[in-house]
Amino acid sequence: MSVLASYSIKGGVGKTTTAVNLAWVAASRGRRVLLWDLDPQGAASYCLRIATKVKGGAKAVLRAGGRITRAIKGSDHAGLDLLPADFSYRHLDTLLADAKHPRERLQRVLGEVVNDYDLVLLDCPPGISLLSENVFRAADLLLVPLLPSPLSMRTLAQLERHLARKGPPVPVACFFSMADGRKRLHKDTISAHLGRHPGLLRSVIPYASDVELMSQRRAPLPSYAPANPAAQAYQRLWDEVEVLLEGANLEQEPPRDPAHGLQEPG
Amino acid sequence: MSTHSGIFTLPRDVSVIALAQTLGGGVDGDADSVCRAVVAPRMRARRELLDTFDWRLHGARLMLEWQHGAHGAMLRLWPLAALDAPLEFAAAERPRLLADLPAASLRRRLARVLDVRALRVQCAQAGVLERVDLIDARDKVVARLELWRAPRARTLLARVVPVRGFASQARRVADCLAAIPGAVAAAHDPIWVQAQRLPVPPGGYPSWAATHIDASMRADDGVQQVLHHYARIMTLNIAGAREHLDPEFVHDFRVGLRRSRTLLRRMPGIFPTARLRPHLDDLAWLGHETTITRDADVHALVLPDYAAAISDPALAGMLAPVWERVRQDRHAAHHRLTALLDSAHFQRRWAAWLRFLDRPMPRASRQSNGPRPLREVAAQALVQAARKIRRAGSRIEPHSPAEAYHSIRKNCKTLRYLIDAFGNIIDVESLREAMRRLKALQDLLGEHQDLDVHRGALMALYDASVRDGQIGVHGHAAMQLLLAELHARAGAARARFADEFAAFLAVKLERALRVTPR
Repeated sequence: MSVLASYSIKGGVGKTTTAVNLAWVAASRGRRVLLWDLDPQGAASYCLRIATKVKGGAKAVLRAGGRITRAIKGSDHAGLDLLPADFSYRHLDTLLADAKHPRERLQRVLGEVVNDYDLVLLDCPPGISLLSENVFRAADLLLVPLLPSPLSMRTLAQLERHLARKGPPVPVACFFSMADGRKRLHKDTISAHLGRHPGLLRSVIPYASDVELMSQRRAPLPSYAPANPAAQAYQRLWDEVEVLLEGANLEQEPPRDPAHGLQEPG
Repeated sequence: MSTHSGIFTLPRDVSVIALAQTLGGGVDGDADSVCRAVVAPRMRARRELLDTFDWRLHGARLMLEWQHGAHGAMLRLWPLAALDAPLEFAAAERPRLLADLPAASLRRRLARVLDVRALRVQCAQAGVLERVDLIDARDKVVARLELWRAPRARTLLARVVPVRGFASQARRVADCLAAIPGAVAAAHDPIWVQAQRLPVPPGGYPSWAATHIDASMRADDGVQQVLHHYARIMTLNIAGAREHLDPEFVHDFRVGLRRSRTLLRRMPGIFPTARLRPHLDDLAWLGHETTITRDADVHALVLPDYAAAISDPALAGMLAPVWERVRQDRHAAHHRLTALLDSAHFQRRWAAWLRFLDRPMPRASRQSNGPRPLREVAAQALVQAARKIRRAGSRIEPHSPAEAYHSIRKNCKTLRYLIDAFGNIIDVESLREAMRRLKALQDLLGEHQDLDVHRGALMALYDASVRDGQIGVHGHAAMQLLLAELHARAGAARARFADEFAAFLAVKLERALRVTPR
């Protein structure tokens, strides 16, 4: 199982859109995907038509003993399940601070679904907090959407500095999102960084009104507009992310014995 | 609370619209209840029950179904007879082997059961499919209903497809269906009724244990019946081996051959030698011919994976010509086997073997063991086989040649085959610990033998590739690494032999076998 976090310190950069669309793309390619909506606003849950309610709230999901498996809901899309948001997630930092192993709680909780899913996608709220520290430890890859602007690049640099100084060694990949070809600032920022910044993926998600319609259609973009350029960009983004995740997992898996199970029992 | 599996037969005149109205009624103020039903346009569709030839998924209480029609295609893995959400994947093509599925959890789940077995369409149903999405107050699909109308059927099949996390809604839908006049809840999907009519029905693939012999019958009758049972299993596997559906058909055919030959060799004096000799020759010939195919299968399945032991991918890639040769050899071996199984000679000789097994044994047999009670003859063979293991194992030293390890492995197999053959007339329960030890010893010896044989095969393949100029200096380095790795693993297996053999001797199997016949 791989854990991918759609994360940014900044708000409004397309974290939820990325999480929902990548979750759908991965599921459509045969992966069994769990999307965990960690943002108390519950936008990912809303997009997948699932109530932002978890029995027992944030306290229950952080507790061991299979509570999260009971909170998981099947979406309307094959292979894609959701662990919904709950408004009590706004207290996650406080609850984590009181928990044992406050920086590894999320990782431990995810251990309960390790055999059920190929990919867990964390849709994170903005900011740097104790929850973020948990995400850094649980994730195999941080995926950071960037608006093509100097401010976004500055925030990325802040995150990279923070991880270099204090964080666990989690790899970071970023990509430009909501890129508007009509805006000079976007064009300049993309051409200045694409292919130069380490960790910056080649896929650029274009601004598209169809993406905004996700909250009205309440479905992932590629499920209702597969030919849309933004939907196709998410497909390409997943191609890039999948390679990075496979690389991360290869480092963790022990080599297998090829002859295992092939001895002739007869 | 309902306890049914969510499958019902309904009167054919039930309309989907009426059903949707009934199910979409909802409960005022209950946001969790179904409050709307959306009926999709009806379409022609087909569903296929996929399982292995020997029904491994059914044995694991699973049902794999591929449904396809104008709406697209969906592969679903259901738990048998439970109202649980299936694992789903929109598989545009019907998978034949595990490798046809994405390397994800569905494949991993199936891998535990299927191994290298191919999936076959065991049975199929075509009809008109009507689908109803049952939706709650938040616009979320909380359950699905599928109605299948097969041509000329007097009833229609209704199936609730639950959604994870919405179990109570699925149960409520099932309860509503159960309340429809004329509805009959089914414990299983009716496609299983169709499956029961197959030549090998679910659960009907025979095991190697012969259950229809008894201790008091004559040895010639008993052995003939066991051989007959093996021949039946082998016959079931001929078509699959001929078509190369998966490597297990050849494997099972060969297991039958080995078991039959073991019985004939280790229980002499049962059949007249002159009558038996041509059949023994035929079985030996088939054993030799199928060894080529089985080795080619194992090489293709196993050898390339050894390259994982080479940490440098560029160096490992140098061996690509060797793996290509493995693939070509396998292809050639399969063609050779097909030609053999299609040949008039094979068909004539196989028919002759079956006739030999069908013919009643003469009551006035002059054979030394034939007329004796099966109990006595079997016990004698079992004790002798256990003694051979003890003697062969005691002679083995850490530096004994690989052939010595192979020889004791064959002795272990012989004993195992005899115990399986006569499990019905000996007290297997009292041998449980001995069997466990025997299996552990067999596994260890099997591991050693595989590594030794694979090492030899790799060297032969490598030499052939070098002769043909397909491999260079770097390939040589990669192969040396690989051979060293296999040698080290074989050494580790040898090092464990003494302990494993001592544990086997400790259970005193010979003594146990002398007293265990019922």
